[in-house]
Amino acid sequence: MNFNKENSELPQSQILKLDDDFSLVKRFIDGDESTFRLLVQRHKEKVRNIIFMTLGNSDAVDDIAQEVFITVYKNLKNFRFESLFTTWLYRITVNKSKDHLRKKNVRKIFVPIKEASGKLNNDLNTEKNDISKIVMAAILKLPQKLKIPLLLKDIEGFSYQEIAETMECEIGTVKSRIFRAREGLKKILKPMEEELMQ
Amino acid sequence: MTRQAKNFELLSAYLDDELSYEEKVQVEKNIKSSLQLQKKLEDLKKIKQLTSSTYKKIPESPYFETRLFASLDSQKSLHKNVFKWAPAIGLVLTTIIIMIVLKSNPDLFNNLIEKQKSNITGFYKENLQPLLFAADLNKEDIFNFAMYKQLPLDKDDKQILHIDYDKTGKEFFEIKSVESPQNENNFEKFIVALNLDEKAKKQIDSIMNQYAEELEAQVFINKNNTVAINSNLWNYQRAIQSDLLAFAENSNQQEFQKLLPKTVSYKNSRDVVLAVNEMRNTRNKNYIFLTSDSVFSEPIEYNLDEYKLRLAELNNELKDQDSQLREIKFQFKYDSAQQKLEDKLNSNFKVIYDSNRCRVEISKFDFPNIHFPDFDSLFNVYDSVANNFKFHSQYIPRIKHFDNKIQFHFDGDSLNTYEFEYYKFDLDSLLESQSELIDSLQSYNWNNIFEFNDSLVLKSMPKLDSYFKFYDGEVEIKLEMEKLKSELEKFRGEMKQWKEEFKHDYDSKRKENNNLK
Repeated sequence: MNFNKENSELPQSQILKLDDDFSLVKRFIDGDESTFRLLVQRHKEKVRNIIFMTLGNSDAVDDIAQEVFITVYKNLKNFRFESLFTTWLYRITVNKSKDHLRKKNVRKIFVPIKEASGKLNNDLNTEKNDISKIVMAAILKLPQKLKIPLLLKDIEGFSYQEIAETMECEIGTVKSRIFRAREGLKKILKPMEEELMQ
Repeated sequence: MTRQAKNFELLSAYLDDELSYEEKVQVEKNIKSSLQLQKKLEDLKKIKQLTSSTYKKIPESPYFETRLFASLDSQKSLHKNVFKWAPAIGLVLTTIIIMIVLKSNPDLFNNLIEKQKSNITGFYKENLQPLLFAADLNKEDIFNFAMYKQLPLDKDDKQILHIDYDKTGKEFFEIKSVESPQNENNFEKFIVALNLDEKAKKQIDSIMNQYAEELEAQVFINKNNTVAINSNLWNYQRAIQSDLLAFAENSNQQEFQKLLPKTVSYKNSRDVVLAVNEMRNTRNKNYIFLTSDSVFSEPIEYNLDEYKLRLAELNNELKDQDSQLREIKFQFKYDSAQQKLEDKLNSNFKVIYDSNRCRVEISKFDFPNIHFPDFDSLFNVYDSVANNFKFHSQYIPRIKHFDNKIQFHFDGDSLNTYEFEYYKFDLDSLLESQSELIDSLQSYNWNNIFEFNDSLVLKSMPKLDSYFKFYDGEVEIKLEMEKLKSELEKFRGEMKQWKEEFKHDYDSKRKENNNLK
């Protein structure tokens, strides 16, 4: 049959992935809530990593990840199968991370300036000798809207299309933001260029 | 965006393998021809490499799932608990909302009730007609109102309005059904008792007619079984009563004195006239409404002159509506629970009712205050006059002669007609036997009895039944017997004369016959 033939031409992993997430969600909607545990097991590390990258530290990762899965659990019955489950999951993850950072930034306003700046300097000093930490520190200095597409692309390996769906924006915007992120990163790392390029 | 920036952006996408085939070919072509682009591509590659190298997998969290599902379970139970307590929470929220609404708008319920009330009162105020049009008040009605505080509500006099004061002096009124209306001709009797001449009769007629006109607007009724009573009606009763007595004293003081109790002296005062005038000038628009399900007070705006102008028109209308107005019946549907509620809500009026009457006691109401001089102290006088005039109304009987009988009738008491049929009895023996009986009846202390009933009459006059025809109605024995005795005495003389004439004729005819023989 043509249908089977077409399916057989797709990469096997992609078929399984589609089939697995959708079928698990479908079973959950039909009342089998045990499938939710399978979805958590399958996607928890990716979710935690996106949060970790976005935040730049592991302090609140598990808390935010918990919030993400609780939100998913509450809204899973309304899932409309119009996009991949993962796209929806990562969109929630990115939004929760952004919410956390926004709240953190608001709280920072109330931290005395001297204390806040001193803390930053200390962080930078301790990270000097570790390239990956230096780069990470530089990435964290980027604005949210540039940082997240860059990390999703270069670390998580998302396609522009996936990033656009996760970030709820156009592909052209993603393309532009990733380029601007790289340009920004280059400027930040300029003083340490020789050391880094060795 | 500059062309260079655009090219750099394409380089970045090229590095990520996100370009279409055509774009990719074009970018590769550009790179080959441009050292700047080649250098930029190198820079971008290094940055991408650095970024990718920062990837460091976050350490696994062994208790992540445990914590997550524990949290989900607790939320589920909370969710269930919320549903469990939903009715209580709802109730509390509703209460809070009501409290807030009432706090911000404390008159909300009052306004709603007032609005509803005005709708209901509007319904009951529809097509109110002055009482006169419905009941055709005549002089007798006005007189009975003055003396006995009763007004008929319909033409058949089957329902009456009774206004009065209770023991504590508080006003009340009641509407009651009367099985057999009594036509007592009290006004006629009052005139007879005072022995008024023609001029005085005209004057008192004029007074009564004027009050009849004024009373028109004091009581309104309509088809919705509503009676609206002007709060000035109690004053009207006092005014008419005072006015009547003042007039009676002025017209014939000698006869009037007979109506008064012996121990009380009554002296007419000009203050009565002043009080009556004051009452007439008090334009009071507050009416007490009694409907089949409520009692309330509302003003009525009316223009009596307008009513008068429309009288002819209304009379025509009333011909059509007559049957409907006659059907006014107060079928009170109060149950005990509603009664209690009414008592609490409407403490100004207390409604007491039974199968054929409804009484409204008025505890708090702003009645027009008109001072009638000595009214309270003269209570006995009014009471006495109201009862005594009946016994002082002297009627001269009219006698009709027939071939075989005579019939006599007392004016003003049309219910009693007496007949003597000649052939039935020997007059001499009758007069002898009955005169004793009549005397004995006369010696009875009738002053102690104010009202008579048929059974007493029958018991007292067993023998008369065989000779007299009594028609139904109230018989005032004492007066009747006095009149009867004098008539019989007179009749005895006539009969003696007639007997002598008859004997004379008989003798003369006998003589003639003998002569003929």
